[in-house]
Amino acid sequence: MKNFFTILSFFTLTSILHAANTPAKSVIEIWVWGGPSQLETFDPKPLADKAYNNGLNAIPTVIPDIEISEMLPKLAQQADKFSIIRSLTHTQNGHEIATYLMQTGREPGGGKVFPAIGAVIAMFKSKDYHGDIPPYVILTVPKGRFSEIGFLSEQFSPLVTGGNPNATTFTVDGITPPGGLSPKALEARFALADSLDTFGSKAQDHLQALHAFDQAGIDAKKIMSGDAAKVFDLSLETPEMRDRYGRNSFGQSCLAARRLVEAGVPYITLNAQGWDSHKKHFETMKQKTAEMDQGVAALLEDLKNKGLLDTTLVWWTGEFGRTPKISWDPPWNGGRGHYAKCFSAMVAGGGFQGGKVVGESDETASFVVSRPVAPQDLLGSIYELCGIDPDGLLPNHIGFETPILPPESTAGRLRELYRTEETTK
Amino acid sequence: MKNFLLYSVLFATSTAFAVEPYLGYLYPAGMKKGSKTQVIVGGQALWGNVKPLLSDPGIKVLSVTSVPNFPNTVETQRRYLKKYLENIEAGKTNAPPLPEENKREGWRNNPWWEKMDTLDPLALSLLAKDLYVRRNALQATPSIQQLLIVELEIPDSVETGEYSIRFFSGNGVSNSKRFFVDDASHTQEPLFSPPFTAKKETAAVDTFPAVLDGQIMPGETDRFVFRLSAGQPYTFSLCGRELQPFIGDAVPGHFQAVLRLVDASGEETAFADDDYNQIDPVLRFTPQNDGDYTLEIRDNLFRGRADFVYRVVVTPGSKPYTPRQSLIPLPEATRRMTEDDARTQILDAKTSVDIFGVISEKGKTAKFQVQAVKEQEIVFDVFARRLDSPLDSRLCLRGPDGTVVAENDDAEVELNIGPFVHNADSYLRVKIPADGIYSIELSDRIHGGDENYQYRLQIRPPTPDCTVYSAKSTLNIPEAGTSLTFYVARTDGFDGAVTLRCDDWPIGETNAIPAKQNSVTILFNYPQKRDYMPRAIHPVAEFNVNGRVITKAVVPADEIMQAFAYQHLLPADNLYALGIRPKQKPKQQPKK
Repeated sequence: MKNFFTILSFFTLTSILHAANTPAKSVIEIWVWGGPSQLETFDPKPLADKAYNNGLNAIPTVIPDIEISEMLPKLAQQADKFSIIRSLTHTQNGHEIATYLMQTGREPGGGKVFPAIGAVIAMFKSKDYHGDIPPYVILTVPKGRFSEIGFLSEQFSPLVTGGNPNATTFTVDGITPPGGLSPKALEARFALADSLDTFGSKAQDHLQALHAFDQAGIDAKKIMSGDAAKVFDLSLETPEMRDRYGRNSFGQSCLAARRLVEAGVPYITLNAQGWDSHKKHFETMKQKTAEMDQGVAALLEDLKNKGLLDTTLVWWTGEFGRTPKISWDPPWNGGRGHYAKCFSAMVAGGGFQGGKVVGESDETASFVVSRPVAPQDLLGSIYELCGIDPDGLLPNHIGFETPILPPESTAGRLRELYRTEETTK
Repeated sequence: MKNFLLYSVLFATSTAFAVEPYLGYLYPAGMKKGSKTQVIVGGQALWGNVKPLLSDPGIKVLSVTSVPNFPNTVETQRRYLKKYLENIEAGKTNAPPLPEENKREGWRNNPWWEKMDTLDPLALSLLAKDLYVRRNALQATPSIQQLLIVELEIPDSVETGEYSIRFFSGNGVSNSKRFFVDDASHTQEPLFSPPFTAKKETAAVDTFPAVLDGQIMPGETDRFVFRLSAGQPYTFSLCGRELQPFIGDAVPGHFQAVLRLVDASGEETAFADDDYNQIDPVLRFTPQNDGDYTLEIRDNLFRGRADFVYRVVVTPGSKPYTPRQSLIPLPEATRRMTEDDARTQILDAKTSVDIFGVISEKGKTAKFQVQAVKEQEIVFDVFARRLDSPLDSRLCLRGPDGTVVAENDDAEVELNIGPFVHNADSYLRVKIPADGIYSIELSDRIHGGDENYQYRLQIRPPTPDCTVYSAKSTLNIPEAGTSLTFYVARTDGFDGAVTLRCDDWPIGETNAIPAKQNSVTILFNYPQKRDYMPRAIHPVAEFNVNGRVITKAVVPADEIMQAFAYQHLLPADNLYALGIRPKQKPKQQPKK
């Protein structure tokens, strides 16, 4: 129901902001919820003691001198499409505050809750986006750590799909008719709802606001019964394509994200759960990295093949990394804790170069050795590549004057990764 | 290639992951002198010929029984087992007839299931619990899932008090748990009852002192009935969090028990959820009327785990606040004086002095005068929370003209030592700006105060020093050796190197905490001759202060996490080492 109102809010949006014509038209955020281990993903340390790497190795990628964890063999073959940041750093080791920091670029406090990057980009991109689906979509569950829209209006609240993309029918809250209703039955229910709405129909001749509300309802119905719902119908893909992404919820979410990009949706978040591996870390990683490896590798390759990668920015990280030293003691029995001092991110497309590494960690991935990257530097780079000035004012309906992000850190945004005419040649 | 990667992951995981014996809880955590009791031990890797290691050899171990893991099984077998259990409860000794073999598809084996009629009540209740309580994978905690039943006997010759228990086998020695020997009678929460039996209840307790034992599972509230006399004060002291001060994988990171006393009409008459800063509650109550009162015990957030074990000591009389005994070594000054003595004189800080006092009423500030000269360095160090006082100290040093020279609320510490969740003690190290008489003021940060707000204020010249703690109180050493981390807590600016020595166990060559660093990891080698019993070993720390070599014993401790985030060092009674039994090599097959 909340999503229904999100859709209504989107269609009643009257004040739409200017968005520049920039390389990144869409953003796919792969949020590795819980905090992914840097060592088992993009910053392996094969020469460290077993107490850190558990004997796991690094593997070469298609880019000479870049190695990633042996747990990501498919991504290793796509390394020309993405770049790695091995020096993300902040000081918050709690999920809630770290998530807020990584999503807004700010520490909590000061009496204002800032919006997540998805809501901000959706707001700026809305002017050039005329699709039926709201401009900010989350697959499949909300983060739940804080309100993604912050002090922005509900208009920019994300459409959270719910459902399971790997199920026979991907049921999307507010879009897929409930209980497998036929179009005819759905129409009958809308007619019944209209007949009960005596106040709205009588008052609309007198109240412009209600007229807009009513129109939004009509538009929302259009989504449910029109082509927009087909974006989420993964059965329209070939079985081979679905297999490439992996027949699991994460893999099929990646596929759904690609379809949303094709539909022009500006911001898509994939919340990948289950990475908070305090216990049984290596068993968890075996499953999670396999799904992640297949899904993200297929996504990057597919975007590239369809000519969408240049205009679609993909970023991958979590709220923090994990403690480099493995905890073998009970109750952890082979786990890694929260670790924000040094962790990794991956960025691809949309104006980022591929095949690069930014920053360096020490021999155990415990500390940043060179080129620290602060959360606001990563977010600021994404904004810049989306044509949004991160130092510019953040428009809002409460009249609060604030820049989108705090100033960049001393090391600055990731400009060394931006594509230039030279690197594009 | 895919298989190669998979095997390499599996191999790497299996080779590095050596589970050590771990003791999660003992239930009950104490017993009456002169009695025999079955104690449930929850932990992990308590395999093989497991034996207890008791801090008092007078406590007799009559038996150690390993509780088998009950496997998941198909519904037909569960129904059969439930029927078997019902028969036993009904007094029948024979097992029900087995269904035909073709109807036993998916049946699993378990040694206890096959001899249910020979099990004692405790074993039978554990089995029944597994059959009737739905397993919740989200609440499963492997580190406390393996169970032993240990039968103990406490002869009359054993003194009442607190003891420690560890367990060991060829796989190593476990951490320790506290165990109490009491003069008072114990009343235990009733054993689990299957739904087809009448719920068991304990008899009303009417003899004091008394001890109650229980275990709080998710959502559970335990109840005990007491027959209390009007006008007679009683104290109900719960010990739960103190049995396991920190839990890594729970938030909050400890059992947070509450006590509630209701009268016969169901009206709440008293409630307690703490005792000053101690998380374990103490309920003090004087009934207005004779009668039956029910004590309810639960977790504040209705959480529950098998290691939420408690004991409640019920004593007649209103028991005063009792600070916990500390294993943290604290420096003693060369002079001692009371607050009253100190207040009537002008102190100097040429040698150290301990002032013992109390912030005896709300808003009180204890003030002392100190004669000092320009450039003199003086340390003011409050020991209050470290002595388990409720005082949350604040120090303020004023100059001869009354202006504030320095103040401090909480000392900055790099290591959390002891069971405390807040390092509340204050510390000032000041270089005196001018000659004169200074005033040091000590108060409670939140303006509390009563007879329990005790403190020791140490005034001293800077005395560089350190204390070294081990990160574990057990060393289970395979043939390749094992490593143990040592942390140093530095005092008064000491930043020199600390060399560690262990005369009673072979260690590696890297054995020093470098200057300005806080830890070192040392290799402990496999012994030349393997002992079959764990042996307490005694590493020492050597360091140099102003040309003088100081030698101090390393404090054995266990590094424990609280609530997924905070690390704590909990001092332990001993550091035990044991060479692990070497794995037997497979016999070579003769060549054909």
